[in-house]
Amino acid sequence: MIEIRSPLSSSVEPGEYGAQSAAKAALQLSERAPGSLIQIAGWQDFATVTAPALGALGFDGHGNFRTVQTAGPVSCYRIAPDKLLLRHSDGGSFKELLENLNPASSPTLDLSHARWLIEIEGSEVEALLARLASLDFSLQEFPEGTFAQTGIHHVGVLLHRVSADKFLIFVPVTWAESIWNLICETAAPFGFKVIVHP
Amino acid sequence: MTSSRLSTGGRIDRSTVLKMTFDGRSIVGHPGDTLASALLANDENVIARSFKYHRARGIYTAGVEEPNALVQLRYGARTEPNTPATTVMAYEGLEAFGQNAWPNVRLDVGVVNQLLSPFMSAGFYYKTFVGPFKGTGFWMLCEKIIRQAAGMGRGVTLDDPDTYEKVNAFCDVLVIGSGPAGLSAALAAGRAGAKVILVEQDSTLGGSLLSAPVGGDGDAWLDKMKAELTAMDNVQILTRSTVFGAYEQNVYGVIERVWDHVLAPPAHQPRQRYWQIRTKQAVMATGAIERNMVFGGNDKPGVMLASAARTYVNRFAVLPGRRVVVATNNDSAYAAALDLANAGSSVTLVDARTQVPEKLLDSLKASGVKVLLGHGVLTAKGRGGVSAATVTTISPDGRATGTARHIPCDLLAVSGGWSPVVHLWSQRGNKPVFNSAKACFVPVNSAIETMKCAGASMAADGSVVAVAQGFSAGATAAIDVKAKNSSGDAPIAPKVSHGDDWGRDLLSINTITDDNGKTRGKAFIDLQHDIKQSDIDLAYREGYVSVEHLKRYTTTGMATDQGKLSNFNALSQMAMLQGVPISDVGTTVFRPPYTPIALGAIVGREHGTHFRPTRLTPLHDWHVNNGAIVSEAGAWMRPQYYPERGEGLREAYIREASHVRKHVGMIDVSTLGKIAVQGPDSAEFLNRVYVNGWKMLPVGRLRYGVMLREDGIVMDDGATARLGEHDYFMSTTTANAAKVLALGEHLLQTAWKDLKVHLTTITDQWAVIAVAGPKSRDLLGAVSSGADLSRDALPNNHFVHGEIAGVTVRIHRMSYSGELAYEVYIPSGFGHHVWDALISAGVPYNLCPYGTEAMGALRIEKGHVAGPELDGRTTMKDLGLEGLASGKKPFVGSVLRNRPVLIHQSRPCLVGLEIEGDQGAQAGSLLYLDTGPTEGHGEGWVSSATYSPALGKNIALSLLQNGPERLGETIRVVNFVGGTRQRAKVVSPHFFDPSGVRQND
Repeated sequence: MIEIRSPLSSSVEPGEYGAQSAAKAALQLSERAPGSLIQIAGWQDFATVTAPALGALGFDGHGNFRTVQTAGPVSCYRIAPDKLLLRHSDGGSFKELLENLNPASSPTLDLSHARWLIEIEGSEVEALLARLASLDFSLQEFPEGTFAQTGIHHVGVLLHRVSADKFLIFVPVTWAESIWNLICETAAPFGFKVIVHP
Repeated sequence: MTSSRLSTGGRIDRSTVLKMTFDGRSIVGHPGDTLASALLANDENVIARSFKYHRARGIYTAGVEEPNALVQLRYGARTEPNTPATTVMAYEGLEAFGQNAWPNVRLDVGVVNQLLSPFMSAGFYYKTFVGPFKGTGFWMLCEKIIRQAAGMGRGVTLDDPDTYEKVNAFCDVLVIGSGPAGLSAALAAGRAGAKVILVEQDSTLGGSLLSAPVGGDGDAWLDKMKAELTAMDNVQILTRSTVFGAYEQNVYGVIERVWDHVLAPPAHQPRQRYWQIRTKQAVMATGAIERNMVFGGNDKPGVMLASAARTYVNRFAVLPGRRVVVATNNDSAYAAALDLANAGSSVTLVDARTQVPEKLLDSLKASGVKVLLGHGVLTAKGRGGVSAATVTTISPDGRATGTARHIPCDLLAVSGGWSPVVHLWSQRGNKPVFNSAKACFVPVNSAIETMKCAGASMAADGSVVAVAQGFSAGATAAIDVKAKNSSGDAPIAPKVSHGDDWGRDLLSINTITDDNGKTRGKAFIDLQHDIKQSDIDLAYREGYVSVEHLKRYTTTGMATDQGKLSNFNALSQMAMLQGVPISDVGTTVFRPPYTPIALGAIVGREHGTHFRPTRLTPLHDWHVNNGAIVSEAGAWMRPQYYPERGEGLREAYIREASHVRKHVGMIDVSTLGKIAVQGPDSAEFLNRVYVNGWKMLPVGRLRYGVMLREDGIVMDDGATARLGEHDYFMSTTTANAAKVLALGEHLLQTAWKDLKVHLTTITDQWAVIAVAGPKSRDLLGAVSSGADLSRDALPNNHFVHGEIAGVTVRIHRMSYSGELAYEVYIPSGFGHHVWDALISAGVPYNLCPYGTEAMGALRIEKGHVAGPELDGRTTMKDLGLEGLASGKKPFVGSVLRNRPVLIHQSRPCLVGLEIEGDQGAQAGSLLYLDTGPTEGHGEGWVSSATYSPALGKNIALSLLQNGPERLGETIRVVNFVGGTRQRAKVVSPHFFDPSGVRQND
């Protein structure tokens, strides 16, 4: 199987960077392919026509615009009133879903190669993100399982908080290196470690 | 210990000695000092030279309002001009320099400017340089000289070695200022459970309390407040941070001077941090600034605000004068007089008022202070510094009534009342109102629902009221944000010295004159801009009575201090001249920033490579690793050419373009805009946005289309493929991808809400490789599987799916170069893999990559239009594309494209040019008749130019009036920028293979 090439392959070097604390870097940065991403769109009867297919995946409706729905390896992001973004983190196929949707009423679009995933983890993750996007990233306002579509460096991204100290950032692949470099520069005052996933 | 440093007291750390320099002379200070206090402690009295007259100036204040003591801080790339010494924290190795002087501030030859002062009055520029001659030529000449002479410090063009960062913060209650009112507000809001950010511009909390003697009740109160606030998790405290701007939607701009107080920031740490704070409520407890008084020589070194003198004594343990005259019109200066006397100075207090409470007088007399009631200071005497004050009895309007006498002194401490700091409140679009009892402008607390003002910024009656106001404001703000807890009881205000209610019985005079109403000598209103009282008088006589006109005509209040000291006195003088109350004169409003801020902090990390985000194609690394010269194309970085054996641009692109015509080449065109158009009404949508028809396009085909703007001008072009029944794949030019998507979204969400269509950008999803040249079919046929690329199976404007090196791809048959060509669409993560496979498979076919420069040459040879022709001015007719437009359906721009001006016969239209000689033309050159005059804008312009390897000559695409009718004519090509003139023959824009034999092969 051909491996998908990271848009950050020339930028990511494992190691510790920036200001280093005595114990460990306050932040860990890593990147990976997002797996399978598919967009489902619709119109006025969007919820009705997609309900059976989504139900088969384990989702009860479309959810809201801030909360990520998860069912096993599949996450569902309500990115617009009439658009959903589904992610299969293992890269699994959405073949069954596609078979259950009518292209005329629920067009789908493969975006697996359009986004890349930057992961930020650590005690200073909120502080770092506060320097990148104008959202309140406190746990109270942005709890675990929340997502938001916003801009980093004028580029549209999707942020997903997966735990108290970890965020996923879905970035368009052609902007990925520029955003990665900016994140690294911004993280330097805290000290950060770049991790390469096996 | 230095000579003016007191042996005890102060809020400084005497255990550490900081070595610094000023103008190369060594000075010492301690942590807790400012540069100003260290300079005073080291008996440095002349710190600066004034703007116009180069008068010697000393330290006037102890805060951000400082108009005089501006220094050039640091050197080299870290140098910073016009920095108030009063705001610079002392640090080891600090280097500061006097500015606006030669050879130095102590001995400045520029002082001769004083001799020219009669000619440098208000309106100097207008009268001297603009008025005398007709037109602006003389002014333009003089402006260069004036700009050289103007300014104080010097900026540098070196790269700033430090970093700056931006951070967003959110809170329930933002408290601005940490004096008694601010601390009380933060306490109330914090106790209630609100999320509070407390911002203080000073290095430590306390505000006015820091100017009181050490060990007093204020210190204990401050410690208690700090302890309670710092123990609250919901209260964040920012010191060394200035709220410089208040904006709509409760957004506040704050600059935190993170590492300004050291020689250089630690590695990786930002020098400054720009906070954008979004809050629900704000409490403005910004205090008040003492005003100076206007009298002759009021700018001399040794004249200082009374509050500043008190601050230097109590906070910094510096005695700013041994023989002191304190001149005042209100109670607050009594505390300064008392503390100066207790520190060892011989003090005479001169009060313009004739009645003062006995309690105040008794306290001063007990400390040996002489008090002269009903007196004022007419002049400050002395050369290079104050040596005496000329004092006389005065009338209630400030005119001398008695015989003047000299009181020897080396410090003249003045207090002309106080001005509440209303800037942030005013920045929200409000004009403060005049409080005649306290002679100051104050905010209207009800004007902004989400901002509450408290303490001295509201001219509160002393600290007891300030604490009460602050606590109430904080508690109310907490309630407004629905905080859950009670604020509890307000703290008991600290006991402070006499006279903290400066508004009590204040006598509203600011100018002391002789009995004829004139000041003795130069009496300054605006110290930083050298605006004298006589300048205000002149402006009045010349009719500039509006405060807005007064400000601009005299430039009072327009320097870096933004008139923090001068505004009120200027207004006061204008009111006196008009014979009306100050309230009738009014005031100007304020705009950000409250204090000067470094542009670096606003820029943050968005400079250099991050000036804007950079976009890279999935194949970018290959291009770089294989020696491509990449260039910017909008946000993209694209390979411009691949030099071989030391080739330059010209040699390389000619070689690459020739190679494509002979063999096969490939180019990364992943930058093309790509938009998924999905839904049952997609064909109708395309029919409306493109000029040509789309309803009959079958699945498996693609079509070239042109889009217009509403006004009929060509916006973009590109090819769209029909992938499925309701699924189209639109491509746009690289430059217009976002514009096309935005227009489509706009139309679908407004005018065409009935259409069931979704648009999604998929530019990132697909890498695209164009393979062009006579051997392109052979190459692709060899490297791909599952796709019949034969001429019959895949003619032009068709596409097919296939597989290359295990990757499923889509191959479009279409040509931009005029050659047999294909575009291969690959999922972007596999783009590199497929490109490598093509490179390997291409060896037998002599495949070479080519860059954008060769691409441009090929398309110009073919006469294809691109960005330079789609420049927002051209119509389809201009470009020879009018045949594409359908007459059977409306489309965007279909009506307005027929405006007379757009169909006029004389419009420049697309033609080709064959340039005579060896030198190519430059895009942007203008076209003129071969024998006519070279006047005006000519008859057209060159849009694109190249050397044509296929034709062996320099060619160009141009827009020429009546162009298609002038084929064969010789014209002149004039490049005014480069200074070249050439001749060219007008030809068809389709230079190469006009019948399309090669691309249709």
